[in-house]
Amino acid sequence: MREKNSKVTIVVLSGKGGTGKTTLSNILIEKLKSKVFVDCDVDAPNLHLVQKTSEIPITHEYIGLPKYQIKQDKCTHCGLCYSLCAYKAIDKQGVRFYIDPYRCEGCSLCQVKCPASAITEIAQVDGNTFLYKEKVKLFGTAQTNIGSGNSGKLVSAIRKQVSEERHKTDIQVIDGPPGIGCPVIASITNTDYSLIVTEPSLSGFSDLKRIIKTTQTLKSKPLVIINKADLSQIISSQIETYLIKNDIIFLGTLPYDKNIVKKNNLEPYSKESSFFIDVEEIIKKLLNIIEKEKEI
Amino acid sequence: MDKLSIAFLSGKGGTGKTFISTNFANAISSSSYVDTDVEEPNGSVFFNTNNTETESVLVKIPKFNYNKCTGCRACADFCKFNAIIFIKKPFLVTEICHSCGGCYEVCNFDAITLIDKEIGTVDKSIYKGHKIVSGKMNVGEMSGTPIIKQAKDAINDGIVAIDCPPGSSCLLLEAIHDVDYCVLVVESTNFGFHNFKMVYNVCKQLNVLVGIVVNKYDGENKLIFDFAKDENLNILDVFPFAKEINRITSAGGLITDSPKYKSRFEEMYKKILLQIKEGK
Repeated sequence: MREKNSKVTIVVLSGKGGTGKTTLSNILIEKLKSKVFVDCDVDAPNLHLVQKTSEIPITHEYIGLPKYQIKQDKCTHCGLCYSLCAYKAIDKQGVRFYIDPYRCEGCSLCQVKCPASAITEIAQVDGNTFLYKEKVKLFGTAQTNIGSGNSGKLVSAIRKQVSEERHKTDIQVIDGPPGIGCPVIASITNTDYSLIVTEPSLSGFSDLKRIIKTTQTLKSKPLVIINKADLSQIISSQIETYLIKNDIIFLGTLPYDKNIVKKNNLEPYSKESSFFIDVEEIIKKLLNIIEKEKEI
Repeated sequence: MDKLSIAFLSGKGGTGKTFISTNFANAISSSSYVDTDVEEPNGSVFFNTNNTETESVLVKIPKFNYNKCTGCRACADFCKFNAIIFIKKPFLVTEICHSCGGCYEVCNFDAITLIDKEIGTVDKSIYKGHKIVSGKMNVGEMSGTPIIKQAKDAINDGIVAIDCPPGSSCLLLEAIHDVDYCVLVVESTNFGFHNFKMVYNVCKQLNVLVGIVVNKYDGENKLIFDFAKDENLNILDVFPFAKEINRITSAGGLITDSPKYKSRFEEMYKKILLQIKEGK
């Protein structure tokens, strides 16, 4: 078990998109006074829109696997690459063959096997990482390039950069991506808690079950919040029942609040709202859980 | 009838891709629906049927025959994904394997066979005459690209509404591969607008026709409208954030079961056809 005052990392997830991950992450950063946070939704990052910083970030290109290209002047049109490619990345147009860069995953099999040595590598920048280093805070974010297949590796790259700079006592907040695939798995890996924000719709509920399973496989403890709970009390209570039945910690509900949607529009929070009263409750519960587990 | 594929995408999650695409398919006669958001497939929530046929999506992974393996390392040296660990003999890290089949191809000693591994499923059903296809990735898998391919291949003709994954990664590119038209579902918030621009650039780069549906419009944030005007983009329809719509949708209902909404989606389809005919 963890030592007292050691690092705590919380990743905010949802399965379904648009349930309020970034909004919740932004609130957590403020309320937990987190000085280290990362936007791991590298396919559609947004946290930088609300975490304004005047600093110029340290930027790194993320170089993934190369892609491949057929040199038409050397190609003998034998079609071996076409039949070998597991990704169906090679298009046949007349007698000529072309590699679709969006489908190519860079395995190099076509190049290795080409009897005419007609296939060459093209270096590939899969995305960029941005590290904002300020006196009081450390903020990492990243963005994949169009069609990149390496979102998971980009997530790991920015997380590594952040953790190298991070102080021991900080609570780290990670704004995660939607879904359950490789960038999500890379975001959950080595975190202590998965704060799952769901919404009371059948879609949200169905995705919730899948993301809970994913967090459990990766040994990050799931904690659930139902956002916009008043939009459907019925489904909201169905979700609560499911959580109790499956022994998953339920932190509470948050109401739909027009002002929060506006915060997303970069306007100030209305702090007296019932939304923020509920937020305080949830934060209290969350801190209790973290404290208790530290003592074990 | 020839195939006409219309993709529904957004960049940001939760803007209403599934809401618009399911209702589109429900409203337009003889159309099909394909859910390619394989990590969080929700289309079947709205097309509830009990005639579902499920097929596996299989990929190939290597199995080593250690009696034949000479320990030459060719497979491990080949693997660009570092999925083969070599400690006297090769071991596969299944989660990292990209199923390229290269290790099998480079092995000179016939020590590798390729075996099937299920990474997800494709469900097929019929709902009120519409073909419904839903790709679903197994929990714990890394990439759903092959599931998207198989789901899209399940429909060969007619009007196909393709419900896409969020983001702008390889999954999205596979979902919009070879489509005729992209409907960009945009939420009128700063987050929504920021991610919209990302997928708009994807479509521009692929040179595919686009139209916009503004969803959950609050009557205030005009960013998308200004942008559409500047770029001369076709706004197909605007849906407000309305509790009535939310009540129906959150419970798994389709608003196009009511005639007033059905006609709006028919109108949307007419606009799309006209734009395709004009080719711009």
